[in-house]
Amino acid sequence: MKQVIGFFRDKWYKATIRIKLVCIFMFTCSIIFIVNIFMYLNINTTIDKINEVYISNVNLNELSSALANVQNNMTEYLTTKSSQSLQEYYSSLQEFNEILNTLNTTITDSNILLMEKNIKNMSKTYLEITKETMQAKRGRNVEKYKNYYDKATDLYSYINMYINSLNNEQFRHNSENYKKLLISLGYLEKSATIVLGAVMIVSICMVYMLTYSVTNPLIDLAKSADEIAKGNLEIDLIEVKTLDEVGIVSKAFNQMILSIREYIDKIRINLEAQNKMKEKELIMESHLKDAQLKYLQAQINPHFLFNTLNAGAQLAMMEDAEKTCLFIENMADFFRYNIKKINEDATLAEEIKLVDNYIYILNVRFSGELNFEKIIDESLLKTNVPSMILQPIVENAVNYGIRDIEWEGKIRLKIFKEDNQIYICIEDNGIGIEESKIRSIMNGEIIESDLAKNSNGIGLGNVIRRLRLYYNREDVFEIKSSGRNQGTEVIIHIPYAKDI
Amino acid sequence: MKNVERGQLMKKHKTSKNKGNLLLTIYFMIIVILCLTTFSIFYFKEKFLSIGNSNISDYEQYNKHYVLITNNRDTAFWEVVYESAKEEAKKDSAYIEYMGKDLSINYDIKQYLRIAIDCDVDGIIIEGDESDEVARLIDEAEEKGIRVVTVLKDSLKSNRQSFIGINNYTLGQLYGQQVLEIQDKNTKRILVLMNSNDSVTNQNIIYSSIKETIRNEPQKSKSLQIDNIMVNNENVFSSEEAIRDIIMDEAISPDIMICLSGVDTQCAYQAVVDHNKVGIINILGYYSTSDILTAVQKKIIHSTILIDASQMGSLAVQALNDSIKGNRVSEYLPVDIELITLANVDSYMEKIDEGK
Repeated sequence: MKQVIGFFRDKWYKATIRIKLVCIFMFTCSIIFIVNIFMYLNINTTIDKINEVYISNVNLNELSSALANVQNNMTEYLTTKSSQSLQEYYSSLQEFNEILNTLNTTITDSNILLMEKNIKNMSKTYLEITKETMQAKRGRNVEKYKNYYDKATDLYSYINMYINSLNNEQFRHNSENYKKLLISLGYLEKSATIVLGAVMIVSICMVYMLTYSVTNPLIDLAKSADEIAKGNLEIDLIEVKTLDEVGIVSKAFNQMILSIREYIDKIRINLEAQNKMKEKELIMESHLKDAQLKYLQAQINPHFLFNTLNAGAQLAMMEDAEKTCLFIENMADFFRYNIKKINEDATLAEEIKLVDNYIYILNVRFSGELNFEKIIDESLLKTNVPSMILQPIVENAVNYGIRDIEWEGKIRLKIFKEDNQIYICIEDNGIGIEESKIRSIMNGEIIESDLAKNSNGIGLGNVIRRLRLYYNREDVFEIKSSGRNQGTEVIIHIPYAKDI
Repeated sequence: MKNVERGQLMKKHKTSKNKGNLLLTIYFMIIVILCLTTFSIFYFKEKFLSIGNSNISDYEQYNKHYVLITNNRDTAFWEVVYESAKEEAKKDSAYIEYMGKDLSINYDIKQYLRIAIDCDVDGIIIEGDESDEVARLIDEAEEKGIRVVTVLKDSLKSNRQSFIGINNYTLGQLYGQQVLEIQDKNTKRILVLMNSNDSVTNQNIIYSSIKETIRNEPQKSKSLQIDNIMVNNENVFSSEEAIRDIIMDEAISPDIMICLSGVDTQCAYQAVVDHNKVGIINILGYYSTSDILTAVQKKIIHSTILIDASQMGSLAVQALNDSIKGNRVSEYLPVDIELITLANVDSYMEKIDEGK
């Protein structure tokens, strides 16, 4: 039994929705159809029975009319003695006899059947009398045939009365049957209605249940889709039980979820890989820079240089070479400053001293050709500035401005205060700088390969950048040049802070 | 999170269980419906087949066809006769038809007799009368081979096989004795009601028997005046009107009224009640419907005569059976009569109730 149910259940799950709906519809329709046919057949049977019931009355009417015919024809013959009436008498006689033979002759306790027997017997007697009457008429025995005719007429009226009574009896009997049939019909109608009603309810329940199996997957699908819309991709996959259209959609939906998950994983992996790559690059860069720095640092170990120079100064002193000693001390101070101030801010005084050191060194190299002038507001000496900003500018002025000129080179350093700003100007009377070069310097487009030319490795670009960073302003640096051979002026303006 | 999952799982389990239950219910209902339908199909087929034309096979069959012919009065009495006759006839495979029961027109005895003869029945039980016609018809039946017996009233002139009835002389004696019991010094008139319908001979015998019985006690009957009155039954309702006239008319209103038929008895007691003559007019009745017995209980009727109708029926059939078989049948078969008075009316009432 369970196997059968299981078998059907399998078939049901594999069917398409269309087939399912058609099945449900056909099932309910066929049940209703069957019930209707049943009702129809039974109603037909009832009607047939009703017909049967009244047929007995119809038969009796025939009997009655046949009897009347016999009597009338006999009367006619007696009246007219025509051969036509004689013929008709015989034919009606035959007809009457035929019907008579269908009547019952057995003795039973049914009053209807008994009446039939009586009618039959009386009719037989009647027919004998009519025979006698006709014979008497033919024999012209007037007395006799009148006598017999009276008898016959009497008997005729009795028979008629009997037939009528039988008719009534039958009718009453039939009416009872008819009532019974009506009651049966009523019961039939009621039971059919109940059955129909029950079938309808069951059908509706079945339809409800079966469409359940159709709509449930859809509802599940919708719920899952909602979950995914909220961003929760970790929902359970939909259980696919049926193989119909909805099942196919559910399968596709599941496939989609898996694919999305895979895809997201792939992207995540890719992203992670990319990030790793970038990290590597950055690390490479920083290592490279590190290496560059180390390389540069490796080139000049300032401590070594500084200590060596100090030793050289001592030597010069011991040999009473005062100028040499002074020169070497200046160099030592220069490099000491380099070492000391690489990570600190400096005061303007310290910066100026560095510039002095540098100029002295250069003057020794170029045998006093360099003319350096200072105009400084003494009150500003304690201002904090980034380290190593003045010397590189002066170096620049020397390297690019005054070198290879035919007239005497002059560099002037002016530090003054104006409108709450401190102005630091470094002027030279060199060959000047072209406008385009000024612009490229200001934009930071200086090629760092010039690094080799600088004494301390710090170029103008670096100075500008650090000044801008330190004072958080773009307009902290300015280069002016009137033209070729007109000299250059570099102006640094920094804000004046009262509390030093 | 785990709780939520578990909750979801349980919900799924529950709904599938619910679905399982629903499915089972549906299957069950389908089976019930199929059973209902099949049952109703068979039930109705059966019902339908049972209705329809009466088949001969549905009824018992008999060998002989008897007929009971009566006039139409006192139908309750004849019913009892018929029923007991039917019972008796069944024993010998004969069926009695009560002629006129199902017929739409009421005929008299002669016509029924005519019909019965023409129907060629096997035996006739008839309430006879004194007419020549009836006698002649009975003779005709006997010639045709139909055996005839008379009950209650005899047709003396005919060749009937036997008469089953009461002894009128004995009846008269009973009545007379009753009169002698009732009478007191105030009693003057005694009236016997006779019917032109019934056998005059019989009634005369009863009347003379009453008179004789009363006159046998000369002391009591000295001052008594005994009369009879013939009610002419031109129409069916004459007895009632006649009795009413008698009671209303002071001149002829009796102290004791003797009725010789059940109908007369009933009319009499009704009239006495209507005209407030209870106790003034004593009624001696005939027959024993429940009305009459109730009237006896209420002392409206003094006493009534009960004829053993069932005995009459069975005796009649026995006589017919015997005569058809060719056995010798006695000329007269007496039927018991009993007097019902206040003393024994209750037990008779019980019998009637039981019978019902």
